[in-house]
Amino acid sequence: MSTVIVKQVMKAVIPLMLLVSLNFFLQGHDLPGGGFIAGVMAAAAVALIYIVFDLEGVKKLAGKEDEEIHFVEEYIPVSDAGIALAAGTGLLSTSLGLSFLSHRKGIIHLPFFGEFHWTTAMLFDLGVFMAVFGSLLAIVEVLGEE
Amino acid sequence: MREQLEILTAVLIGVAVIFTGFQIVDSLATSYLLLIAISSPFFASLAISIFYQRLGDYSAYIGAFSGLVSFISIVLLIGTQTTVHYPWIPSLGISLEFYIDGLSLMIAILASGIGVVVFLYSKAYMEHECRKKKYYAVLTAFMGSMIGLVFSSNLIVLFMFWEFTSICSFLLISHSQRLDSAVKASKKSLLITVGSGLLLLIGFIILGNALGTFSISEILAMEGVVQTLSSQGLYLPILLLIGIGAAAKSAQVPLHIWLPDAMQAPTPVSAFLHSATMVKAGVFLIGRFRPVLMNGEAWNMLFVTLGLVTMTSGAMLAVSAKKLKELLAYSTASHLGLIVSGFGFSSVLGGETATFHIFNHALFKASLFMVAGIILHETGTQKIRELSGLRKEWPVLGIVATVSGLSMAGLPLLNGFYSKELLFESAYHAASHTGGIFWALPVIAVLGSVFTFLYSIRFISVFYGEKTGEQHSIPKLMLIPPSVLASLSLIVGLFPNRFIEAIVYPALHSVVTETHGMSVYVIPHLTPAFAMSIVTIGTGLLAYSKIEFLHEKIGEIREVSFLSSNYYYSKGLELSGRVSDLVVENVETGLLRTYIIWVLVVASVSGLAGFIIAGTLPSVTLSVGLPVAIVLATSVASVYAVLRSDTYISSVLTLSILGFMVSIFYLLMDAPDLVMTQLVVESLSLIIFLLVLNKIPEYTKQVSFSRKYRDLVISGAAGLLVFASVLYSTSIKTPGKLAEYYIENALPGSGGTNVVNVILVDFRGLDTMGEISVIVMAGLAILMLFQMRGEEK
Repeated sequence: MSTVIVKQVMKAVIPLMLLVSLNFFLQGHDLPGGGFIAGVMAAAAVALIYIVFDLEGVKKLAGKEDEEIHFVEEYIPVSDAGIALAAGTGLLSTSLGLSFLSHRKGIIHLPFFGEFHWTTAMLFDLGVFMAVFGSLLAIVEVLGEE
Repeated sequence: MREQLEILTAVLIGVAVIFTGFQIVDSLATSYLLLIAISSPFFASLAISIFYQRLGDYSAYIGAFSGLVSFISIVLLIGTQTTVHYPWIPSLGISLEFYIDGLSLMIAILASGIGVVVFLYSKAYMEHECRKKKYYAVLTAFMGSMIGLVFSSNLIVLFMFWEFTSICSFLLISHSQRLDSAVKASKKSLLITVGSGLLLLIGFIILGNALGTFSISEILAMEGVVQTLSSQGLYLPILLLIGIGAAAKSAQVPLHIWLPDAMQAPTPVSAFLHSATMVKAGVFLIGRFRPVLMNGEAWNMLFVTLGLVTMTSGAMLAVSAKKLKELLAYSTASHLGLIVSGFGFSSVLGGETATFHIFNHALFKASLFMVAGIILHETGTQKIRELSGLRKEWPVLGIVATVSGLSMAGLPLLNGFYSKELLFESAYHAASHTGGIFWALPVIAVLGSVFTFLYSIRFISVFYGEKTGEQHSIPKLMLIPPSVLASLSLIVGLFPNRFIEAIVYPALHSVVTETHGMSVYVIPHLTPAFAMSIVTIGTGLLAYSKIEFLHEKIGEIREVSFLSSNYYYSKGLELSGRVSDLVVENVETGLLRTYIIWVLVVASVSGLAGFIIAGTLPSVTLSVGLPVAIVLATSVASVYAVLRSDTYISSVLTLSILGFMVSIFYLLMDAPDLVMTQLVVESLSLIIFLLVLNKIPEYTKQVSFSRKYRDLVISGAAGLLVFASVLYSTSIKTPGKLAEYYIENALPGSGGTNVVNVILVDFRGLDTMGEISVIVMAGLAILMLFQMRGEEK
């Protein structure tokens, strides 16, 4: 699998995938996309790194060649934090006297991008992203270690 | 530390007494008193479970005190007959409803009053036992749930308390949890009482639906309930369901077998369980429904027969008992039989028998159990053969046992006499009114009473005769409770009409519909009933010389296995064990494919059967455009390729063709979000598959021909079910405007134009919340599986 050609292609493809994932996440509210699909996309990108560069290669990339790292332990907190964030946005609205998981929206004017529609639902979606990304990668990781 | 605690307890009790006093003076509001009566044991239970470390054995006093508070509140309620509502969820019109009447007051007085002495007795009896925290906490809750049960005025609330008493007694019977026998006994009581409790629940639900109300006070106020139920053909089923529930709880033959085993519980529990709680719940229920469900024939047949058979066989079994507590346990079944048969007779006399005997039995049986407990506690044995002459060392206990024992035997001037006379009178009344076969009733009643007389004397006999062995002195705290109860038996025996007027007559009023008076003669008159009493006592005295012979003979009959319901119980248990083994072997194989097969078979068979029975399958009109047709054709071809492929790798790769076809199908159906999700998920699955590629065995195992066909049928059925479900659900035109609402409100409400995403994160955010939790849980579960696999290696 890890031929030179594949490696070189991947170096171009993986950043692109991550960009697409980011795009999915940001446009989710208005165009096809959203936290779930962005999470799966990003997880797929990272999983590809594992396949092409191996666990050792990933460690080399991270500059921690000699250390005994369990990436699983790094991913699970991400998914936990995702759920916490999603629930937190819900609790935030509750603490403001609104019903659980009700959202607020608005418009900000940014210097280069123009108008930006913000909504607190975005935070919730970020939670979805993290939960999906973290748990999928944890699964990929244990499978890979086997 | 001990002294301080003692002072603290005294102060607490003092404060509470003053508080209670104030309440009495200040407010006699019925609802308030009732709330105190029901809740105080539960609060005590909570307090004990939280503060046990500090309270230690003083928990017994807390329990006794809570019983006392309930007792006082209930005594103050005497004479009221009303329904009390506490608003619970007023917006839904649900309220917690309690019904106060003579019957509930009488049993609540017994439960709380005997509860108090049981707690005092426990303090001494349980001194050197362990797990006392659980013991006291559960015992108080046991008392509370019995009080709650009798006052419930809602069938479902009553059932809830009913099961709660079963669970509490399960926990108390299994107190010595290291003993195999205790575990078995508690399991038996749970299986029998909770199992039949479910029948009771079914009966309640049918009853409530048939009458249109679950409120007991409303049902009691209805006219012609029997006619209403009979016209719907429901009378007999309801009578049987409620009858079985009550019979199991009150240990009626053949469901009595849990009661003798329940003597595995510590003796104070037995004293409580056999006298005022648990078993009295069953007879309470029969009494509660007597005025509305009694119709003559069926009611009489069921309960008179059941009661008299239990009374006689219970008494015979008690004669054959080898241990004191065993004797008392069978005797309880027998006396409950007397009460049930009393309720079974349609005359007012029957009601008098049952209500008065509920009261009398509680007094002497609690006392006798405490006596048996003292003997067991101080001598270490309860085998009747090994005990004699105990009176010499323990004169007071001897008197207590003699008074209570003779009361159980039904001798004049003691309380047990009156209710037994009433039974004779009602049996004679029924016989002389109906004649024929009914003359068997007084004969059976006398026969049962003769055996009752015999075992009562046998119980007392351990106090008389030659003295054996040395005995210790009895702690005062242990001796006082049975003495109090025995004196009460005597006082009731001497002044029965006072107690009848205050407690028993109101209870009688709740169980009969006719107008009537009630009183008994202290100095017996020569009536047929008194003649029957004389016959009973005379025969008893004559037969007592042969008691050893009877003891042996009945013991031999007991050995015949098929006559005993224990035989059927253990056979049934064995059978259910075998069935579970069979299920485990065939369903729980640990192989994923077996689970999938079972899930698919059950789902598709029941689902398809549902569609066929309901006959709701819509007519199929397929109109498919060319693009869709191409996609579908490719999918079918890829499935065929999967089936034909001979390695795992090729089958997975060809299967992914199907996945991509599905996403193209979504595209054709204008669902871009679904397309992208499907595509990304499909790619990720491929990536994961690539990860494990080199670990996968290359060949597909050859499967047998028959198995292939079996799998074909199962997957075909599953596919058919999905097809039918999709067809059905899409054919329904939803009358609501849900979709329109979402589309219209997505932009103004949430500022998003992608309706799917707005639904996910905003409108139905809580659902998404649940879904991502499931994703994370699934991830963790997979991690766990891998870790466990690593450990096994």
